[in-house]
Amino acid sequence: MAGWIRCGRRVVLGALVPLLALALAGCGITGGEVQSANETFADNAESIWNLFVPIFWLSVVIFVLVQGALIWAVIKFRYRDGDPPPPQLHGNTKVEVAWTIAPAVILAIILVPTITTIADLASEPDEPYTVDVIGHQWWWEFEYEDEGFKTGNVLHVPADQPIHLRMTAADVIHSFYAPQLFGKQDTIPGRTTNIYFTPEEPGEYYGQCYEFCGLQHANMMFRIVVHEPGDFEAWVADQQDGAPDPEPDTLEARGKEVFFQPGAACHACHAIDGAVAEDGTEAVAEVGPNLTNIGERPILGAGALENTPENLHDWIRDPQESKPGNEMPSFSQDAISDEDLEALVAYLSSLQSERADAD
Amino acid sequence: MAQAVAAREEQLDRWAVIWDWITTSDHKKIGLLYFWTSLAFFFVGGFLALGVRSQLVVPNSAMMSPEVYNQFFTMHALVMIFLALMPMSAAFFNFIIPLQIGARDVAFPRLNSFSYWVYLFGGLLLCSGFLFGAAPDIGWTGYTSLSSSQYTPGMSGDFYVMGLQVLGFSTVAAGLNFFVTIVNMRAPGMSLMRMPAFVWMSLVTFVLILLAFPALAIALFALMMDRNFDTVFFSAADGSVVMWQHLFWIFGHPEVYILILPAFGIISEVLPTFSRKPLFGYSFVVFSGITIAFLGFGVWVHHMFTVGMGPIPNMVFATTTMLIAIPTGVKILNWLATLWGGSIRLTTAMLFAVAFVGMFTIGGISGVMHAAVPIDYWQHDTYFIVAHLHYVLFGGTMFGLIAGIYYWFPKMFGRYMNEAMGKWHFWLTLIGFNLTFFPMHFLGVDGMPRRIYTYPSDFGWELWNLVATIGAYLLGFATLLLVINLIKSIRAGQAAPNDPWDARTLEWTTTSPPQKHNFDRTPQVRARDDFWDQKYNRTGEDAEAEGPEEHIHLPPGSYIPLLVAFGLMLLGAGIIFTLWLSVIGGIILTVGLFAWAFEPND
Repeated sequence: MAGWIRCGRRVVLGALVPLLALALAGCGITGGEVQSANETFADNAESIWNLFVPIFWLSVVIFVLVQGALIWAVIKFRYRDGDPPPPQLHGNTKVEVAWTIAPAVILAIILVPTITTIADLASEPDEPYTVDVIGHQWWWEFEYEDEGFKTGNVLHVPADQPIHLRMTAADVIHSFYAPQLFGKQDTIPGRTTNIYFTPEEPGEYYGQCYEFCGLQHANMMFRIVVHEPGDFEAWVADQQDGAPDPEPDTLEARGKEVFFQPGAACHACHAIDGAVAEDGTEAVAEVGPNLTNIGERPILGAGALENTPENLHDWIRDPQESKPGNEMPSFSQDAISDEDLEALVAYLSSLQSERADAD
Repeated sequence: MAQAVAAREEQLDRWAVIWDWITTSDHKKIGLLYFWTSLAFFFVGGFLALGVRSQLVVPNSAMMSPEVYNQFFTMHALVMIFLALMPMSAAFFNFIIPLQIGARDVAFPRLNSFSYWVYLFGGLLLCSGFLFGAAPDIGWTGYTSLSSSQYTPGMSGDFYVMGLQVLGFSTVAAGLNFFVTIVNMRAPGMSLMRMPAFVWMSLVTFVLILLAFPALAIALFALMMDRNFDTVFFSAADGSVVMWQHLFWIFGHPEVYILILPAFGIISEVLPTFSRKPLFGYSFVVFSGITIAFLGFGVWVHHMFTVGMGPIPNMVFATTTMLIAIPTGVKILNWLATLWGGSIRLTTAMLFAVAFVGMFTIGGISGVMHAAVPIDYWQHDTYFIVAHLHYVLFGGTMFGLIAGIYYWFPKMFGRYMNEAMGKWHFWLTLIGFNLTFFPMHFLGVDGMPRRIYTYPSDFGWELWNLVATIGAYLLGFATLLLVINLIKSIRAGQAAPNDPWDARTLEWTTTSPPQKHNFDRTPQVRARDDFWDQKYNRTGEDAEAEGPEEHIHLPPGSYIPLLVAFGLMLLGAGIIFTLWLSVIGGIILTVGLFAWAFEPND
């Protein structure tokens, strides 16, 4: 019947053409974005991509063979009116054995580099530089234990130095992943997980939480700033010095007062290393992220907003607007007047390391 | 006056019909109940999916709040897996298995009715969370400690726990029932290796259900205790947060095969019928199915490669996961060989079955990619996984089930479906499906995490999200065609004979739709593909030989299974609302079980 024949041709056009077009378009347009896995800047991510590429091409070969055979069979062996039933072939043991062994061999070939790469990624390098990573709903805390300071949502590390991320979580399970630097590991309350990687190129890298962790899972991003080794030491020294104190009688100095005053009471939740109020109160609380040098961070609210003075203003006024459900309360005009908020924003924006180049 | 009487009589008649459906223990009617209910839930799940895709069509979308979005994606998965795909398989288990093995009904007809009502009540319980603004929003995997009462206080977590717990009873009861049916009630001469492939794959599914669902029941029970009675099974301090994942995936991975094996079975019927050839390598297909089931219990850690169990467990489970690709590959090659040298009629059922092989292969290939553990360190919880799982569950299971609908519709309703509309349905589905899910691979390469309600505009994710959403709407439209076709064909489709496809198995020997007692005389089976053998290989007296005349006993209907199912649902609902409901439910359940045990059965 002519209908069947036409239909057979349509199988080819209908199934193959859109898929192929889509695949080609995809290969052309995909990759090279801030969180793409195909551009790697550390040994860890590179070994993952290097494992993927041969498996990908093997997959393409199998894909083409199977789909080709499928479509070929549907076209070639179609029914024509009056055809008698074809030979009732029940099977062939030799063929079966062959195509049981063939995939087994292919998989064994894939398995060998898989196992060696698993071992590579799990082995601790010599003298790594260790940073503790703690996942919170919904932000990241980074603790430099030996150097004695903490930071939030932006991790700074030196290039060309093996890094050990020693990770856990404070509440629920999260997952820490920066595609261009390393493969992900979950951060789990009550347990420790580890990532080892050696960043190869200074720069700013993107990452976020990949394990669903509740309402604001989408806004649990982080950045990793990779410094030149010397520059990193300067950055560490800056952090150890604590936040710079504003000049007296400036807007920033007024902002610092607002930070501690009852209406705002930012210090009830946030720490700023080295910031002391006139009555001797210190900002050491650890409910929210440590704000020392917050002015140099590229993001606010773990990626809910870009860090600009305007956004910082909006964020403090109503953090529930851009990140509903997060623990930070909104601050009305009664709590922080417009002038006070302007001063507070000026103060926080001024908190930047002096020695290190922020980028 | 006379009119009023007639109207009342008609009304009485209508009540009698409804009462008949409510109390039925006929496997065919229960199969139809499963069919329509699962189709309705499929639309609920599809609506939720379109909600998800609509939210993600542009970056920084404000269409939905994160709370609503999280409810949508969680309920989409729960509805599709537990209320649409599994029950639609159950519709075919019910309608087709007894016919294919030459039986008059299932082993335990009232238990069968109980399974359906528990499914319906459990499904409504699970979905009723939306009425209280408290649908589950913790992902279908319900990971602790997010699902604990500390981080998910209120009813939403309880709807998840109790909804699934109640539904589990339905699944296990059905699994047990059909396992016994297949083992004990096959027609004389139907040895295990003469069973149709669909019956074989279903049998393997029931073994998986019976072994896997208890793990889920235990996990849910412990989580219920943690949430409501302050136990510490999954506490980070005194228990183990990760233990939930082990229990969940010891259930959850076999669950994947519970979803796909019936579809394997369906296309193992459709491909031979429309190729007019027997299934190539029948015994290899059967034993690879058994192997998949066996290995399916040894691969659960591949869902947990990133929890940091260390290199050795990851190496072991990478190996077992790759092993399971071997029997799966064998199946695909056998289906290809079934087509090869055949005489292929591209009916709508056949188109879906052929597309199943192609689409499932894509899902299988991407599955091997993240079996390579370090690649999973990248792809895990990205959209690459979303693409993979939909190629398996939609391109696989759903395509298989749709093939089953077009294939068995003439048997179920005595009419053909409209083939022209079916072709439209097929091509729009195939294109819409690939447009939706293929770009998700690219989003995975670009690092888009799954389960996020919003994304920034400068990450390069806009284009493929837009394409995926367009595809999803196309897919939604295509599915409307299926329903229109179903309704139109039931009303006015071309009448179908007993054997409309020149098929091979016993269900095609009886009337379309089958008479209440299925077969006038019990079939005597003398070959695999017995019906084909009858039609083409036997002559004269030989062909006419049938079983002796016999007394046909059909069990009466009963309302008690519905009552017990309702009591069971109340028992679960009490944990969500107030424990008094549980007490009432417990009483109904207990009284109902006694009534069940002593109900006269003749």
